[in-house]
Parts: sequence; C-alpha cells; structure tokens
Amino acid sequence: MYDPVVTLQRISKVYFRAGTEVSVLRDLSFSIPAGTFLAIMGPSGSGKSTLLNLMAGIDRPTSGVVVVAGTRLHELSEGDMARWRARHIGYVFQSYNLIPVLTAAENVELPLLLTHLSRSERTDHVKTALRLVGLGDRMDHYPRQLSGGQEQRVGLARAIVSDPTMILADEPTGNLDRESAEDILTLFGRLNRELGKTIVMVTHDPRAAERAQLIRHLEKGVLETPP
Amino acid sequence: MLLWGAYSLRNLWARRVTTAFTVAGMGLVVFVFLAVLMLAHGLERTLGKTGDPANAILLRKGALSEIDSSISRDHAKIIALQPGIKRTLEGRPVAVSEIGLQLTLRKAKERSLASLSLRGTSHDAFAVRPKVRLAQGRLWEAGTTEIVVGTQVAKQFPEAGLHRVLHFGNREWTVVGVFDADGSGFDSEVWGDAEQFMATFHRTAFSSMTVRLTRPDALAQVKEPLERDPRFNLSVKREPDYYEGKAESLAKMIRVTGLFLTAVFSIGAIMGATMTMSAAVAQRTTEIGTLRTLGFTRLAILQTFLIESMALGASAGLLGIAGASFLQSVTISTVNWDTGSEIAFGFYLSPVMVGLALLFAVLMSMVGGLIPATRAARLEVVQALGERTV
Repeated sequence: MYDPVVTLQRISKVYFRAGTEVSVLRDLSFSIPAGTFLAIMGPSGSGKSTLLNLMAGIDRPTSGVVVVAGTRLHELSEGDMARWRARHIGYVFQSYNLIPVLTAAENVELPLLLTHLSRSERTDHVKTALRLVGLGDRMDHYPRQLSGGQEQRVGLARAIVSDPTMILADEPTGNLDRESAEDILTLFGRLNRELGKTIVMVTHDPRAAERAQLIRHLEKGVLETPP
Repeated sequence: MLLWGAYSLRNLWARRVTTAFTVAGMGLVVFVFLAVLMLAHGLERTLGKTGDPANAILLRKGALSEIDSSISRDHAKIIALQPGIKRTLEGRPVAVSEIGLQLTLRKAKERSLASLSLRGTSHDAFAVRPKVRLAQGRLWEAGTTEIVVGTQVAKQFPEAGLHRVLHFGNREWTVVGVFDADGSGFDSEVWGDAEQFMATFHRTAFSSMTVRLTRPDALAQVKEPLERDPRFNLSVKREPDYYEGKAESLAKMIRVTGLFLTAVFSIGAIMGATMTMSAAVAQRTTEIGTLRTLGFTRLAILQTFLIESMALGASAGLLGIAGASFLQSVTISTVNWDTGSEIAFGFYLSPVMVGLALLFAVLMSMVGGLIPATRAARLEVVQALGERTV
C-alpha cells in the first residue's frame, strides 16, 4: 500500500502551439491519500486532463516531480513507464476507447496480456471483472452491439481487471445519459468503498463530482485551496 | 499471442475492401514471380529429365551440341567396347551412335515455321533410354524412310501426326509411331534410322554416342580413358548435365526478364502495402493511444502493425501460389536458343518455390508495413489519444 498514492511537487506544464507558449499547469503541489475517491473539477482548458495524464504517466511535466505508487515517474524510461502503467494504472476514457474488432471479454483481457497469467487465469479474471460491472452475459458482444453505458462498463472492467493501484477516469460520464452515468458512478463508489481503490476522476459535471469523497477545483492551471 | 493475432486479422477483415485490393495487387506480383521461376525451372527440368544419370554422352571435344559434333564410324565401334559401358546378356554394349540434324515444320497454332531436332538413331536408343517408350503405332523398320515422333511434336505439328508423310532431304518420310519420353526434351524430337538420315544428308560420321554405364558412378571409368586418348578427341559428360546446359541461355533470359518485371511490380506492391497500412494507422490512432495507455510498449505497437502487414503479405502469397498452380497444366513451345530447335516445356511448381513465393510476399509486406508501423510506434500517447490536452 502506498500512502499517499500520488504526490505532485511544484508541477508545471507548458505547451508550445503555433510558436506561442501556453502554460497549462502552474507550480502545482498536492497529494492524494490511498483509498481516496477524488473528483477534479474545472472549466474546459483548466488543465484537468493534463493533470490526469501526468498522474497516469502518459505525459511528462515541464518541471516538477510526480511520484505515483512510490515511483518517481520522471526517472523512468519510455519502456519502463509503459510497464509501470500496466501495473499501477487503470484508465477510464470519456469515449470508452474500446477496440472495435475485439469482444467485450477480449477488450477486458488486453491489460492481462502484459502479465504472466495463464490463459485460464486471464479468463477467470475477465469473467470476474465483467460480472462486477454487471456484464457477465455480454462477454462475447462486440462494442457495436453494446449501448454507451455498457461500453463504459466494459471500459471500467478493463481498468480494474489487472487490480491496479489507482483508477484514473477522464470525464467517464461525459458521453452517457443520466441513468448510465449514475450506474458508472455507483460502480466507482463501490470500488472505492468495498475494494478500497484510489480513484481520481476528472469531470465538469457537479452531480458526478458530488459522488466523490473529495472535490478539488482547477482554474487556469492552479489548484484551488480547499476551505 | 493468440488474441494479438486475432486483433490483426480482424482489423484486416474490418477493412476488407482495401485489404482485398492490396492482397490482389501483391498476389499478382507473387504470381508473376512464381510464373517466372516455374517457367525457368520447367525448361531446365524438361531438359534435365532428357538425360538419364546412368548414361554418358560423348561428343567431339569443343562441340557445343550434337549438331556441330562428329564421331567416325570406326571410332564408334572401338568406343563401344570401353570398360564401364553396360552390356546386354548377349554381351552387346548398351550404346547408341546417333546423328543430330534439324528439320523445319509448320506449327499448328501460330502457323509459323519452327525448327525441330531430327535424331538419326537405332532401336538401341530405347535400351539406352528406358524411360522412352512407344505410345502409338510402331517403331521404324531399319533401312526404310520410316520415322517416329515425340508426343509434343505430334501435338503441335499437325503435318507430323501419325501416318502423315513428311518431305525433307528430297525424300518422303512416313510417321509410323509416336513415342512418349516422359515429359523430357526427346518429346520434341523426330527419330528415324541413322543410316537413312546419313545417306540422305550426305554424312559419313555420327554426331554423338550415348552409352549406358555399368553403374551411375562408373562415369570416370569411361570418361578418363576416352578423354585422354588422342585418337578420339572426345568430351564425355553425364547425360543430364549436357542437356541442362543446353537450357542455360533461355532459362537465364526467362529469369532475368521475369525477375526484372517482378522487381518493378514489387515496388508497386510495396507501395500498396505502405498505403494500406498507413490508412490503418491513421484510422486507429486513438486505438494506438489506448493500447499505449494500457501499458503496451512502442515495440508491441510496432509488432502489431508488422504482424498485420505480414498477414496481408501471407494472404497475397497464398493467392499468388493458388493462381500460379493452375499454370502447371500449361505447356509452352519455343525455340531453345542453345540448340536452335523447338522445345516444349511446362511450368513446374516445387515446394521450394512455394516457400520462396511466401517468403517473397511476406518480405514485400514487411518492407511496405515498416514505415507505417514505425510511425504508429513513435506516436506520443497524448497525441495519439487526440483528446483534450488541457
């Protein structure tokens, strides 16, 4: 168990677009205790997704130190970072990002291909994860045969199947109707309460954010100090 | 990894129209590649089969073919007694002295004139070459102007069919039989009595001798003393080596021209594979980003797209091989540049060629897929996801 799971120290992120410097995150420092369900809110362009990407190890800060699950990410090579992600991060995308040519079960199995599990062990894990999200009867369905809510539940099953240290979700309910969104948020709540998973969710939906234990607001790259 | 293979194959199926066109294009190149190899090999095999490893052919030293060779009657008698040459139960040497000439006839299909090999020989020729057998009619009577023709001659020259009469050397020659030489070059020859041919064409000497060895490894026993003997001025070769050599120029021309065409076409096929795979990468950029986020390395992405490209190549290879296999029923008749005579031969497909064709197809697809696969592997995760970056 890593506690805190995430520690960000004086993080800055600058992009260059058409020769212009765009500062996305400014001298940002905070930590996330293990077992927290945190919602990060903020308007478009506030740097929410960039922050999530830095925690996920799919982007690197311009300056500052990111420590996630006890690993100083800037010290990792590209290959090591990929292997680290496979071990520690479960990522839920806004647009589900399922592979259209693979079935629900095969999509969920993808992260397990990076482990040393046998085929039968992988199958067991996949079944457990899909049952947990209520899709035990949709294993052989292709994404096109599923509703948006079901697709996102497959995405969630894929994120948890390898039992990662932390689940990161980027606007997980952004493309869903109210009812499906509620289902997903309920699942996040259960994963956090029953399995003690650390969850960081980026959203601009206040109703989604309310389901988290903790809400932090990001404004123009600066994290609002909690009252 | 089974799932990974399924991923690549299903992606190809998902873009089946593009896949089909690319496979067809590459398959065509494999077909041409294979057709060239089959044709050249068919020619060599036909002439290779023409000889028997248990036989040796004797020609005048320096002669390139039977046409420009000469062995006197006296020498032929002495040579036949050489140790190492097989003998019949009655003690007669299994050897035949022959005269090689050329005959011009009109072909059935093109109606053009073609030159045929005319072999003046004796019935001993069938003892020396046991694979040659009479298929229709009968053998010529010694001392008559009767002739027999090979199956390919009967097939391609209607005027040389069974019971037809040919006119050459100011004499009439009746076709009394058709022989089958097991697909060898003899099938494209006309055989008759050597004495009659020599009298007609005013020859006093034979062109060559073919002898059956006591054992296939007895060549040296015949070759060394005969080539050393200054009386004979002879060159002794194993029969298949001699006939294979006669196909060298034509086979080389087929190979050079065909492989040049294949090389040009393959550039187009490689570009086709590159375009198909580039489109696949462009369509699946988000997928690449997702896989990278899940923890797949750049190398894994590179491998995935290369596997996909190679599956494309393997399919094209199989298609090309399937198409080329139908060529095996086709027979080509053309002039052998080394002899000036007409030779009929088929396309011959061997397991080695199938392997080569598959390897060629997979290599083409690998080269074609390398640039798009590398580009896919080099994509930054955030850029590939194409999502909001702020």
